[in-house]
Amino acid sequence: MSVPRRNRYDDVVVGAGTAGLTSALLLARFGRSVLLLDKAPAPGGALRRFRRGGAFFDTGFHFSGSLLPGELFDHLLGVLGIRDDLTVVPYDAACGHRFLFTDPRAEIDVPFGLDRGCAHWQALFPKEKDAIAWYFEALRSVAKRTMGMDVGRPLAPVGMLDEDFVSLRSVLDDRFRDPVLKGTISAFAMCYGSPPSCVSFAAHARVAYGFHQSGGTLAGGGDALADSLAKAAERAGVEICCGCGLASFAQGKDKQAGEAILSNGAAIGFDRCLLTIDPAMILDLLGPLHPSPAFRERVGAFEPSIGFLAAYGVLDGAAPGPDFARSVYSEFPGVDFDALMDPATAQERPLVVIEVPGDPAAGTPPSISALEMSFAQDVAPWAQTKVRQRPADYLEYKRTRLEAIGKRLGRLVPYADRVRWVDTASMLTFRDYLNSPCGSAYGIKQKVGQFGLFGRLPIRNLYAAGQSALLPGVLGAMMSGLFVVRQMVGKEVFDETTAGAR
Amino acid sequence: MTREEIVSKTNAVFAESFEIEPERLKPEANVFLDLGLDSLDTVDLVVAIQKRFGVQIRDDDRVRAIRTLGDVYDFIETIQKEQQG
Ligand SMILES: Cc1cc2nc3c(=O)[nH]c(=O)nc-3n(C[C@H](O)[C@H](O)[C@H](O)COP(=O)(O)OP(=O)(O)OC[C@H]3O[C@@H](n4cnc5c(N)ncnc54)[C@H](O)[C@@H]3O)c2cc1C
Repeated sequence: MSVPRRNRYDDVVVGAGTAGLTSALLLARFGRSVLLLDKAPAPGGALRRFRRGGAFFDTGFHFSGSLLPGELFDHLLGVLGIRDDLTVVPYDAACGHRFLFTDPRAEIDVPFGLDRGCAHWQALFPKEKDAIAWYFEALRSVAKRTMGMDVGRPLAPVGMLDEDFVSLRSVLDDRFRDPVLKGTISAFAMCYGSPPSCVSFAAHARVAYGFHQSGGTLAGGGDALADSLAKAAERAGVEICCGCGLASFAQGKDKQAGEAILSNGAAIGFDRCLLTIDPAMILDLLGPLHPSPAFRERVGAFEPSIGFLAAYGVLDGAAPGPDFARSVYSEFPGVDFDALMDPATAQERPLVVIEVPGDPAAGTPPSISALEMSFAQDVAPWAQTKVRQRPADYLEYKRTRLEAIGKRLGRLVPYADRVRWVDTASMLTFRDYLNSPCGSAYGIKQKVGQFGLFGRLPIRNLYAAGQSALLPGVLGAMMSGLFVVRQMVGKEVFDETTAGAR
Repeated sequence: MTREEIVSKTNAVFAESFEIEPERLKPEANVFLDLGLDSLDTVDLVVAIQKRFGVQIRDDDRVRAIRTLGDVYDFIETIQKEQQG
């Protein structure tokens, strides 16, 4: 455990995941003294990889969209000054994502590029050509009008859009007829975690837009991004303190929080404190500072997104063919995502399989991560237990899920019999390693018309960012970090300084 | 919904959700200067009103134009009409 060197900083940033690293780095570049805190032993949050059976596995950064030059992810890396540290490994542009529906049976590819994707789906669903054209145009239009998403005009000031107030479900039912097409459009819900009747069309479109543009990962996975962010932050003067969490705030005056009290008992003074942790945890920390009942009720109404039960395997024997790790495979046991994403469903759960090439020179075998959709309800019986102290029936639950995933893998990939499973992680595993309230993958559900916790909070010297603030996923967490700093240092200064960095 | 119902429900939001003493809830009271809310409370106010009245409020210019409690009553009356009609 490290301890802060000083007892006062301009800014204290809590949580050193994507959002915390991004914002700490930017705040320091604006001349602020910054302390970045994380409960975990190393910075990175869900970006951190782990090693099993000789292979490296990603926790929460398997792939992203918008990675090619000129697209949003690439653009943000440029603004942060770390583009040259990282190498993008793009997926197969002809079919970066492959959706396999089993009932009714259908195989649908997502080629990259919105025009190409549109044409491909139009060929598969010729009767709904116009609706598909409308859909792709709508994705573009939402992205263009969303603050920060239009790379040409990155900081155009736009608030909520009309599309933030309609559900994906109502758009699907108004515009489309073929249930398989509706399922196809809904499938990127795996990448934001909320069902069609709940998610706004705008939130859906912001995420889907990126995944239709391009897809891939970074050489070295999440670790590469975490390391380059952490190094850049330290170079900019950020003090990173790990193994040490924020435990509470001292009482302050005038609707302000007092000092930050850390888990080791230290009291740290600050001008402003930025919380990049889950809103439910923010609510707990703010409780003793008496935010209004209206605030407590709003934040208390947030619900967790879906999570995953993850199975990790390595491939023994000869290297897989040239197609390996060029596409992401998803299997859906139905086409109605409101039913598939209902925790009470009797159907099998959607499954996403991500392949990672090995490195023969370094002796790392090729590996796969198989992520099965899961909900807090699945693991509720063991919610009170901790890592390494789980009871036998929990281990049995994980074993049963692993067996089911193993069987399904054979339908998706040709090498299933060569996979040697090396670990499984349930939502409780994610909860305990990521220090989140329930191990959900994307923070909170993105609901129609919902205002997330972003920017300055009603306790005046506190701010919020993170994946639950604006947009889920690593890209969304990065964006939230950028925008919260823009609010903290002032739009004018921020825009002037970052203009050159693009 | 009658004007009286709107007034009493709105006042209940301010009393319960922002802990403001009922005797201070006069139509001419400035929400920010007299009742002590500030711009950072606006989102919570909007969410609380949406829930209480079952209406949908967007982050639009009319919300930003609100000054007094009377403005809040008028605003709710307008959007209720819009969303029913
Ligand atoms: C299994 C899984 C797969 C995923 N796959 C993808 C993917 O392929 N692509 C993608 O874009 N996204 C994916 N995601 C989502 C992505 O990982 C997250 O959206 C993103 O990493 C969130 O970043 P963050 O900074 O908001 O939060 P986090 O990375 O969770 O960081 C929050 C940090 O706060 C720390 N913390 C909590 N409480 C305290 C405290 N009191 N004091 C100090 N520190 C504290 C935690 O230890 C943690 O390090 C996945 C998530 C999961 C779980």
